[in-house]
Order: sequence, then structure tokens, then C-alpha cells
Amino acid sequence: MSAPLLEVRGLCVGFEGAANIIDGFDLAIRAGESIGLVGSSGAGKSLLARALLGLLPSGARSRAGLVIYDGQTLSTPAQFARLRGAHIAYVFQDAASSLHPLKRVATQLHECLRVHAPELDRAQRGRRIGEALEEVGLADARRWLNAFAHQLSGGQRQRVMLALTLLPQPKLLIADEPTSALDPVLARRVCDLLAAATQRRGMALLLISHDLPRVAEYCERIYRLQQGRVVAAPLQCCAPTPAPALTPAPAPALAPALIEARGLSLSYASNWRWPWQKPLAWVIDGLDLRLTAGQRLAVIGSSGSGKSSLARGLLRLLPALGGEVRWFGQDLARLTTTQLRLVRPRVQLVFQDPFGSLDPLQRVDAMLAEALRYAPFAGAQLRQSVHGLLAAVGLPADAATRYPSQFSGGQRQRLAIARALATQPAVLICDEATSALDADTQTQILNLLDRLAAERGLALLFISHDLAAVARLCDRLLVLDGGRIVEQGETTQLLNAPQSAALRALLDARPQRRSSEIA
Amino acid sequence: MTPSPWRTLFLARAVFAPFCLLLLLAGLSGLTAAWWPYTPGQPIWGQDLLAPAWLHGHWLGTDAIGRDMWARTMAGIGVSLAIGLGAGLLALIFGGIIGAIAGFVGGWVDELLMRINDLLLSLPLMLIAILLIALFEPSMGLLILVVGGFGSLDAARILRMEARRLRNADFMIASQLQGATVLQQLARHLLPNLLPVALTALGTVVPQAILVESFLAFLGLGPSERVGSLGTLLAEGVQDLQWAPWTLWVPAAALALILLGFGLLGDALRARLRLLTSSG
Repeated sequence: MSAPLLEVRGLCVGFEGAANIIDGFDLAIRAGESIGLVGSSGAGKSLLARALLGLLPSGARSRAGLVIYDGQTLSTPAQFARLRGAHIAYVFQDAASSLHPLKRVATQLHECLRVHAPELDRAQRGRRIGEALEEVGLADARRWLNAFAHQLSGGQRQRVMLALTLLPQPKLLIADEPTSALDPVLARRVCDLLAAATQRRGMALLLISHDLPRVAEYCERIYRLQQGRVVAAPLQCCAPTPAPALTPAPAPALAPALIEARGLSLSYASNWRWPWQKPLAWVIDGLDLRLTAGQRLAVIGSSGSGKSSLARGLLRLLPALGGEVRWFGQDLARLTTTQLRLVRPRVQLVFQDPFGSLDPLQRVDAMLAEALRYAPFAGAQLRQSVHGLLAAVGLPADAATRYPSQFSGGQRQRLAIARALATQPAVLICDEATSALDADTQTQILNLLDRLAAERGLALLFISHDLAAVARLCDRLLVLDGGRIVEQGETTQLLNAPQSAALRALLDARPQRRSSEIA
Repeated sequence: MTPSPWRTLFLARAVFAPFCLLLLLAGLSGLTAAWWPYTPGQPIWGQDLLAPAWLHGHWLGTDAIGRDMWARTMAGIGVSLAIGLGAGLLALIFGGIIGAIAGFVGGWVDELLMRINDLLLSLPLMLIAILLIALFEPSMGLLILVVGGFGSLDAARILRMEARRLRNADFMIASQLQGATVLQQLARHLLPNLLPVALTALGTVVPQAILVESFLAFLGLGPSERVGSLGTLLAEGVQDLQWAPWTLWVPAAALALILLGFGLLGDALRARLRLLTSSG
């Protein structure tokens, strides 16, 4: 067994005046090996990656431990600086902000080579750059070289970043959540590229992520970071066949629909056109949908398929340009403002971003009390209180006197759910309600939604691109692509025998188990 | 029980210190009016052009006709602060209403209000102010109205942007979806969230108002001949600069302190705005 390329012994990192976040961390990466590092958000993954590169944020200190690269102990900033880029490369989470916004791609790539390989002349550099771009799947280099970062899509940016890090031919690549900003299909392609590039060049890879199944697929060993140290990773991969969905009694076909869309068409452009203008670009194009009491319907599709627009259309945040939306049998478009206001509490939305959906200046008790005031209580209905709501979503009673900024993402999502429940809705629409959360928190929120829906007989419309979540929570599935329904049916059936290309692409994008050894 | 974001904001040292400086100046001005043995407008025969000294009781000296400089400067600070704050508040309230309506309602209402705003902003402030004050009897109220009116144009623009951002914020949509009326949305979410930006705007509008007032007073269009704002004092100090430099330096230093206080306060508030408006 060869000596490790990078070895970390007993590393302790913490912010000044606070306890260690990384506390006695050990790691060894041999040349050509792929290692995964998983942990929930806040576990210190990114801090660790930065410590390995000698790039700790201000205020953070490395208090103990050794970082040894190729037999040499790294301690001074100069030693780290010599290795960075040339030997150890780093792929950032957010490619959009790590590319220079005002320089063309070519300039940035040339600059990188000028620093790391000053012996090359311009033509040689150009050749190397062309090869690197081809390697990351950006053939036809000329087209990309003259582009600015904002002209590239998220996946393309991440590829350019990858090409940039590969240029100096490093021995070790540290990728810090390289795909968490991408949709699953793109994330898969980027991960494939990453794996292929490291394999071809015999590079070592340290893949950092909160997404255990995905890491498991690409890495030989997985470390799990918890409370600052490595613990064995319990490998809970997505089974190839989805877990049996909870089976609430299938709604009879003719049960009255709570929400019904008939031939719904939505567009962000105005309906009125000049005769010579192009016809409307429909975001949702003639869509039919029925949600009955207690039903759990999932709407899935990749980014841009119109999922969120559908939610906005069903909630009349976006007017229907064609077709109609009915709530409890009433045509939404015909309701007056007051009538609409009175029926609104019955259908609630849980937003994707738990950081934007709570008023930062409103204390939790004020927020819930306000929501309770909107509830259309009829007589001696279930009396809810602020504390009752907090308990229902699993938050302690003292949360009532705190402000949203004092909660974590998962707790905020619980607060948002509590607020939605306050008005006693019959329907809960979740618009990517778990996609901004890390894996552990996602599971908790899904369990919570599952329990609440069962307890309160809520109908769920769960919009997502996460098939595992959908399989766990929903009994019916509806696949959206380009604003149309391309497939619908029972969740288990559909996931086992996908018909449409859109669903197959989403299924293929799911991580598959390949890991052999778990550290 | 956790402190509200507002409390945390105002207890921050960078916000608290300039706030205290301004409070101190205002307090001194009030105390002087109540207990100082000399009044700002009363000349004292035989005591003209005394240099600042401890012993003769005129700590900051006297001016050409024997008025006590301490009393005059403190009264001037009071006038300047009153006009600055009055104009600033007027600008915020008026500009806030216009900006909030334009930003929240959007569409043609927004276009109309903002184009009128642009039109007024393109007029030369100083000329209009001089014209208005020359036409009517100069008074503190008129000055506040003119300076505050102009300040409201800027404030409206700043607050409109913020209102537009807030209108599309998820928490506003959430309250709409819960059945809140437009007025409830405005009162419970939009206005409280506009306040931090409004305060920051106050940090630019108030010093501007104080400067404009000083400039007008310097030109002789001040609110009151008898008491005089800092601008009036400056105008008189310039005339006596050669033989009594303190008559210029003292009010100039006072004006600089006020502007420094508001400047630091505005900067500190702007830097900490994220504490309030972003929930992260």
C-alpha cells in the first residue's frame, strides 16, 4: 500500500472564542483514490475543505493537528499557496460566483495557465485549454471561450470551473458540493464528468456533499462528518425500487375535487399580442388536474418544466390565460376579491426557500397569531393556539418568543408549515418544500408532512424533482415536461415502469449504489 | 425571550455612539436655553469681540456686538437639528407613502408617480428653494416644507425600490395566500420591513437638509434673524474672520459635529441593514 497523498491527523479548527467545529479529524487519501465526505449542513464540511487548502475564513484558526501532503507537513501560508491549484485543486459549490463576471472564459483559462505553467507560449496554452474544455464536454471550444460567465448555464459554468481546475494538472481535486445548485439531471452529468476526469488522470478526488447516495455512487470510501469528527457512515442508499408508498385509501374516482384545473394555460407574457408578434410562449399548456380530499398528488419534472408556475396558477398568483381553476367547485376567476380572500385560507402553500418565506421582523408568536386570525373558524371548531401549532410541527414552546433569524433552515420550514396549518387548510401545496434543505432535514420534514397530512386529513400537492421524497410521500404522480403532463398514475407503478422520456431521465439521474468500503 | 432585531441594531456600538453624540448636542442645546446666563440674541455692551476664555464667563467668546457665542452656537444647533429632523421626517413620511404606493401597486401607477418624481428631481433644488423663500416670509415651517419636500423625492425613489422587492417576497405572498387584505399586508409586513431602509434614508436626507438650511441662512434666507441657525452664524463669522476667527470656527465646528454624527449613524445603519431585512 502506497503512502497517502494527503493525510490529516487530529485536525482541530474553530472560530475564535468558540468551541472547535472540526475536532480531531483524521483522513488519508492515496493517489488516484475517490473519497466521499458527507455530513448535514453546519457539520463543518466546507470549513474542513478550506482548512485543507489553508484558506480558513477570517476568525477561524487551526488549533491542532497536521496536514501532510506527499510526505511534507504544511504549516505556513506560503507552503499552502505553493500547492494550491498546482497540486490540490478546489471546485466551488457556486460556479456562478467563482467565475469572474467581467472576464471572458478564455482570459480566465489563459490566466490560470500563465500562473501555473509559465513556460508555455500562447499557442500551447490554447491547445491545452481546448483539450481541457473538450474533456469536460464543452466541445467546439471557440463558442465557449468568448463567453462571459452570465452567458453560460449553471451546468456549463460548473464545467468551465472544472476545466479551469484541471488545467494545472493537479494530483488531488477537492469538490465542495459541486452539484447542489444544479437540478438532478445536470448534477448527474457533472458528477460523471468529475469521476471520468479524475479516473483518466489518476487524480485523487475528495467529494464533499450532504447527498450520501450520490457520493456513495462515485466514491470508494465514505467518511461521515459529525460533531467535527469522522464517524462511520451508515449507508442508506436509495433502493433501486422505491420504498412502498404509504397507502391511504385510494380516493373514489368521483369524489368531489378540492382543486381542479381544466385546460389550464399559463404564461408570463400578456395575452394581448400585435399580429406580427410570435404566439404566446405557454409555461403551462392545457393542463388537467384533480386533487380530491386526502389525496397526495406529486408533480415532478426537471427545472423549467413549469412546476412552480403550475403552483402559482393553481393559487391564482398567476392569472389563467386559458382554461379554469376550481377550488371546492368554485371557479377562481369568477370570485370577487373579497370572496377570494375568504376562501384563500383553505388552500395553503409551503415555499421552497425557508429563508424568504418568514417575515424577518415578526416574532414567531406574532406570525402565528396573525395566521390564526385569518382562519375561518366556524363555531367550536378545533381551537388552535400558538403553542399547539408549534407542538404540532415539533418545535419547543420557547420558539414562540424568537425571531426567524434564530432558526435553522429545517426549523424555519417547520415554522412555515405551522403558519400554513394555522388557517386550517384542506389542501397544502408544497412547492419544492424540501429541496433547499440538507438530506437529514429533508427526511424530517417529509416525515412531518406525512404525519400532519394523515392526522388532519390534508390533501397534499407535492411539487418536487426528488423522486425519493415523492415515492415516500405521495400515492399519485404526475410528470410534467415543457408545460404538459407527459405521464400520470400510481407512484409505485410509474416509478417501476416509466413510459415518458422525462421520467426516465429523472430516474436515471438518481444515484446508484456502488460503494465498496465505508470508512 | 430574545431581543428583537431592532434592539440588537440600536445597541450595536457603531450605531449607539453617533446616536449618543447627536443626543449630547441636542441635550446641550436644551440645557443652554434653560440655564445659560446669556441669551443668544441679547448684545452685552462693552463685551464685544471677547476671545474664548474661561474667566470672563463667555467660554466661546462673544461676537462683534457682544453676543455670547456659546449661547448662539447652542441655539443654532437646536435650530439646525430641528430643521434637519423636521425636514427628514417630512421627506420620509411623504416619500414613503409615494414610494410604497408606487412600488406595491406597480403598473401604470408606478410609472406615473416615478415620472413625476423624475421631472421634479431634474429641477435645480437651490434655485427653487431660494425663489420660494424669497417669495414668502422666511420661517422655520417654510424651510422644513421646502427642504423636506425635495428630500421626499429621493426618499420616494429609494423606498419604491424596496417596496417593489418586498412585494414579491415570499412572506408577502404567504400573507396574501392566507387571506390578508391589501391594507393588512401593508400594515403588518410591508411598512415594518420598509422601516430599516427608511431609517437609512434618514441618514442621508437629514444631513442634506441641514446643509441646505445652512446654505440658505448663509445667503441671508435663514428662518430667523434674531436667533439664527448655524448658517446665520457662519455668515456673520465670515465678516469678522480677520479679527475674531472664533466667530467662524465655533459654529463651523458645531456644524461639522452634527454632520459627522448623522454621517456615522447613516453608515452604521446601512452596514447593519442586513441584520434586519435579511433573515439569514
